[in-house]
Amino acid sequence: MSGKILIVDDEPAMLTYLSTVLQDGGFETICCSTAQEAWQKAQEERPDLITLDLLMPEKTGIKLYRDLKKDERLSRIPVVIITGFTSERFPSIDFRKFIYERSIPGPEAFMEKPVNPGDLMETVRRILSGK
Amino acid sequence: MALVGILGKRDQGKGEFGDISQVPNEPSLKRTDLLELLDALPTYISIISPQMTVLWANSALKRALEGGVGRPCYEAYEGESGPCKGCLLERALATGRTETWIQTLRSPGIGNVQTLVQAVPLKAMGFDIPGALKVSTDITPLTSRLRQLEISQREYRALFEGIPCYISVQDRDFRIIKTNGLFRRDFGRATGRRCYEVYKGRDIKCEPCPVEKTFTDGRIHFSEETVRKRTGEPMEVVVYTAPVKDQVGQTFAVMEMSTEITQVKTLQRELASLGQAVAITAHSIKNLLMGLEGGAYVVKSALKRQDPELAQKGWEMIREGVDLASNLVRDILLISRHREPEFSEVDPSDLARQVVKVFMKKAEDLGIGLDLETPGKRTTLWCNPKAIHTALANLVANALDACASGSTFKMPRVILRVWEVEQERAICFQVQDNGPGIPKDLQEKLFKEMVTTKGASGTGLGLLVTHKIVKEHGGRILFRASSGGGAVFEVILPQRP
Repeated sequence: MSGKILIVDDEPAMLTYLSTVLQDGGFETICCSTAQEAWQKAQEERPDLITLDLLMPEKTGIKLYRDLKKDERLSRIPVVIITGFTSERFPSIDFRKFIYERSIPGPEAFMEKPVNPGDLMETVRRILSGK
Repeated sequence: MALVGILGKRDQGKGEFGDISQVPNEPSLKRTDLLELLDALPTYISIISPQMTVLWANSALKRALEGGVGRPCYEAYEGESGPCKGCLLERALATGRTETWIQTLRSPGIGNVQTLVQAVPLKAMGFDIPGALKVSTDITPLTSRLRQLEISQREYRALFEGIPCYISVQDRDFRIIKTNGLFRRDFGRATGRRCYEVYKGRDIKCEPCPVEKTFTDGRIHFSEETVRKRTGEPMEVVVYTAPVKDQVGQTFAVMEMSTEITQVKTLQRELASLGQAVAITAHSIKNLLMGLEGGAYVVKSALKRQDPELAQKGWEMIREGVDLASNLVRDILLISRHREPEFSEVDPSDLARQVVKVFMKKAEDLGIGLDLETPGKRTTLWCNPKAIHTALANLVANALDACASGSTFKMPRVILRVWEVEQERAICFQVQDNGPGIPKDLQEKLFKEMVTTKGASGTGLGLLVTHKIVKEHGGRILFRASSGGGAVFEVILPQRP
């Protein structure tokens, strides 16, 4: 399986890791460390899938997600949320709820760090094969 | 001797007895009736001669003394063999004025009877004869009640004095009116001084003040406070305030009762630290594993691809994971271990200068301006310098990281300011940055939970450690968003905690 995946994360180490895993899986990767940059790249590159971290400086991942899903041309791109937020760490905030707004469809997958390479590949392949 | 005989001369007088019998439309009351009445009264009545002999006694007195007429007054009433010292009846006869005193009537039949005595010279009543009328009223029930009152007052005082908590009664100006024994032992004689002076060495009242609340609404309030004994030793107390009301229900004073809870608080903190440490460990280990596993994966993949650059990146991830592990362990030890504070007096500007010096190179490498602003004059701060250094270093490190991760459109800058808050006798350390600021949803949690905006590179422990240190110094830490973007943290420490 091949395709182009846009990886959005403000941590360089995460970008390196995710892109290595995805490249090893046969994907072409584009790395972005800010939401602004990702928004631009998404429009230019039209990736097949986006992995997105939720908490980033300037424009948060949540805002980027909403913008992507509201944009006619980009809303069809599947998104995998990969985040360090966990329910234990922020018990009072339900991040899934943040994203699962009524007017906006939910992400195709939601993964919490640490992300296992096998799980990531399986998730990405499942989404892209349309299963 | 018959009473009528003794008072015979009064027959010609214009006394009240005559007048009473002449009141129209009233049943006529004869003088003899009145004398019988006097005889039958349930008080002890006698007529005493100037030689102190009982000339006449009414029935009640005769019963109590089992006779008595013809005997000396002191002998009949008190069983004494000689005249009483400073006899007031004698004085009444000498001055012609009524005298009043309390006498114990010693009755062979009914025992001792406390009496209120009034001795009226007969001349003062218009009778031209020597001697005095002595009227003794039994006040035993009253005195026993008074004695009970005295006992209960003594008991109340013993309770108030001996109760093992600090009690003070205060007026509307927070002036202490009354204190109990324990209060005086640990805070000295405080009557007349203000509560906040005595408890905290302050010049102005505390905000919020439970005493003030009780004065306002007349209800019981409580708060937890850190106070200082006269020896200088800090103590944590839970304070209850209750109104002291007058007969019409107006609060005219407030009673403040403080109980020491230092040990409870210490235990609570230790338990909380333990809980935090466990939670932090779990979260941070996840991040750590991400770094180590991710790094290992990248290195393995790089070796397969024969890509030294990628291998380097993977190695960096592993190294960061190891760093994170060692920081994590250090922070957990800091937060969970109780350290004996090593206090000394320092110039806060010197402390700030040392912190800035430590970070200068990092700031330069990151291209961030790091400035220090201190007051022109020398001031002092009583603190644990190592701990305050750690607290300030955490804040400055955070500010630098924030600037490094953030905006590109302005000159990144971190300023550490120090100034004296004179009205509070405190020192304020302020760390301001013009980085991206802290997301609203995280602001509320800043000092309560592990919060990080640094993703896997932060454990979120820094602020908790800082908070713990500030609290240990009796100070407070504040956060606000800077008007020009970025974050402002202020640590306010009492100059002498």
